[in-house]
Amino acid sequence: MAGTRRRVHATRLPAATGVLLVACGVCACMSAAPDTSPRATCAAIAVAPETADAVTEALTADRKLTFHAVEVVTSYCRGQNTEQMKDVYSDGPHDRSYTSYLQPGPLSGTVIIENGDDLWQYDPATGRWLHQSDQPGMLLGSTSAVDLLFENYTADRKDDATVAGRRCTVYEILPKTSGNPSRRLCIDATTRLPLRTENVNGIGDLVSVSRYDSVTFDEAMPASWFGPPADASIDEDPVTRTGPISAAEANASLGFQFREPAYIPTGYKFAGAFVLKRDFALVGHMQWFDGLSVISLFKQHTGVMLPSSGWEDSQASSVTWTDGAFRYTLIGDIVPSELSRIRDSIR
Amino acid sequence: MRSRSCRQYRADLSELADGRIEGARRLRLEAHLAACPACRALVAAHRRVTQLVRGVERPLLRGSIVGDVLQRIGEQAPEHRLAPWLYWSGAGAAIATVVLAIGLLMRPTPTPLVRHSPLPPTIAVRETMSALSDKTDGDLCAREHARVSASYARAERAAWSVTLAEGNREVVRQ
Repeated sequence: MAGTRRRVHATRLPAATGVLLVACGVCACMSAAPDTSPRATCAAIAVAPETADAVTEALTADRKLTFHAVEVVTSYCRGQNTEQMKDVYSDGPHDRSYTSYLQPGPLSGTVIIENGDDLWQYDPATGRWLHQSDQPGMLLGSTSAVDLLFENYTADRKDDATVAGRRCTVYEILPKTSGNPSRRLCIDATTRLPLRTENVNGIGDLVSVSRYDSVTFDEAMPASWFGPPADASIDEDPVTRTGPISAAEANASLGFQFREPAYIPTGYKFAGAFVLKRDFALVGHMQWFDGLSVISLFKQHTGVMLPSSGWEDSQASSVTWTDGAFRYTLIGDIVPSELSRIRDSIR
Repeated sequence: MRSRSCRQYRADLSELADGRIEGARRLRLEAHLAACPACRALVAAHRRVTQLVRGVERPLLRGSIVGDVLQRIGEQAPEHRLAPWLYWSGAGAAIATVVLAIGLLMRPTPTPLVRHSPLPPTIAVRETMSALSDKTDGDLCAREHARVSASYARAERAAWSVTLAEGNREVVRQ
């Protein structure tokens, strides 16, 4: 994931960074060619330059920092709270991290090591490691994640706060179009690292809060930490991914029609398709991104003709249905009515 | 639990569909099928494909189709008062069509299954069966969505990390 995150920013952010440089005169860490499109200028005007600067730096801060933290993530789902606690060693400049889960019980002892585009996950129950590579990225063309963020969201500075004993500035990222998620970030005043993040979904429900209970910077982290032991039993991920690719390329690989829906909510941009293969099953995956939130559509051949209504399972952020011999799954942190509208535009 | 149980029976489902399993093993399988619509669908799909395969195989057992066609052309030719060039070009086209059809049918790959089934050409029988019985469809979607969401920024990554970690754990244990 670290590799993924870095890929997105390393390959797509420069253009967006240029937008901010030209329009706001901030963001000294970025150095790409300027984008003087009207959209970019409008986007920059919508957010105060110092706020845009702080949020942009926060989104990339972990790439520049070396830190050790105890991170707690509380998830809220249908009245039930679950809490996870992780010990995180992050070596941003070398694009690697080591995360050990302390809670909840079922995940306790799980270790995730990320190093560039490689990820290894240790399962204490089996004593085995799962290896994944080629982490996903996004296909945003000349647009960047930051471009999209300030095109579709506003950011406001709020009061200061203290998190993990460190002084933070609080920023709220709110959608310009109702029905999209929002964020509240407590950004470390010195390093710009977000120390607390509140995630709110499109219907206004608090979905999760992640916070650092403690954080220290510039600890020594030997390279040997960021790989599995020499005698480790390692399984390769049985799911292979091809992507991000265009919708046409995905169609050619899948062998069945996988078209974009006629309706996608305002502000979302096609961010690439993937072809997932596990054993002999093929699944098409398309994604759309608005700078903060991702909508995913999956299509898989089920092998049998089902009634067109099929079985349907709708949750707060996902809907699954069948149509003919195909099963669709749509996931997004948007209001259910928008998910339904997307679904209806596919049928 | 259900998926483990299905996996345990999966290897026997094709034998059951073909009527090649008897006794206590069959009873156990039928008891499982009674409670498992996914495996029932799998068996039904296998039976349909088997029927299609049999339908394709039958012509191959018939001896020399080319000989039959040539003989019929020879028998019927005098009755047709066609120009010689039209007669011979028609006969040539017919022979070429038959030879092409036989060539396609005798290819070593399982393409006849695909060609005669309602499935898209790149999905073979085993693919279909795997897709049907894979309980992890939903898990896979959730995990992949989490992966792309987490790829955006650290704040997003924390929110999705449990989904990712749990999804990966299931992958290891399957």
